[in-house]
Amino acid sequence: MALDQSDRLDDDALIVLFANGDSAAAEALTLRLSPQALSFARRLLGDLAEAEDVVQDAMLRLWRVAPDWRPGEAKPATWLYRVVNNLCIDRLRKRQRVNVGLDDMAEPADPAPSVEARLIQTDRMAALDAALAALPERQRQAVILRHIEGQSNPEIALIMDISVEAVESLTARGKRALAKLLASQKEELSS
Amino acid sequence: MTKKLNMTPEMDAELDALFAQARDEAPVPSPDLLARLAQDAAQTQASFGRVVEAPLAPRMSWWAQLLDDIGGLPAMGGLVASACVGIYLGFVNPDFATGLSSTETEVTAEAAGVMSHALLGDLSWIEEG
Repeated sequence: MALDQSDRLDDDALIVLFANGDSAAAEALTLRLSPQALSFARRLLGDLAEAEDVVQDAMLRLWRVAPDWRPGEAKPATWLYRVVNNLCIDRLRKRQRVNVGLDDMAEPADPAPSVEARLIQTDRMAALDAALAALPERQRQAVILRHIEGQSNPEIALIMDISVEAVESLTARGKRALAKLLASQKEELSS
Repeated sequence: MTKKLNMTPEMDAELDALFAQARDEAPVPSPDLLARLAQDAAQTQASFGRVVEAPLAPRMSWWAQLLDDIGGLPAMGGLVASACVGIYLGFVNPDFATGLSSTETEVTAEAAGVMSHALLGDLSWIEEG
């Protein structure tokens, strides 16, 4: 199969082709799936090198499962997000960081209404990463998947193995907590 | 007592702008990562359908095959021993085998006679009765 022909094929078909020995299918799947897996892992872990290792591990699992892949059962992208999510959770827990979840934290007394406009782009991303890292694990996963990776709630439910209602609750609470954290950062900067 | 934050439209818009920027600045897989992924894919693909061939049995000569078929050296030893005993009985001491045969025949004839008399007696009793 030529690489330009792969655009007309869905991920399921590419996995079947890969399992049948088509090397171009591997390249097409890599170019299609690895960027979003890397983006998700990078946001969850906050470390690019570690995220690359996670993506390599997750893609290797996809290659190995290809001969037993059942088209139509699970979307390959969703399957990959789920594997990346689990690998990242394992790594985060191994770090043994003592994170105090926002659920247990006192809410800021008087949050500011908006983030300071004078923050430059880099600082804004650093602030977002810091705020995301301070979120409880499940809220962080749900917020990243929903608002940065652009996944739908049913897909997030499959990735995180929870109900759609739980996803809605996590994303709403996560977004609210994120706003509080960013407002606190802005207050610290302005004081 | 903590105060619950109400999300204002401005805060919502600000967060959405941050998320959009995060999407735009998503990391792109480096050439090194793509090479590692391609190598893994090629190695995994090469292992698909690889059949592990059983080692071929070494070729055997006809006599070795025959010996193997009858049970190997232990069976051959028993066969040779039986043949030697047969030769000994047949050529060195034939009277032993003949005498044994006649004695057995007499015993068998006597037993048959007893049976015959008994049967005949019974039959003659029945006929008389």
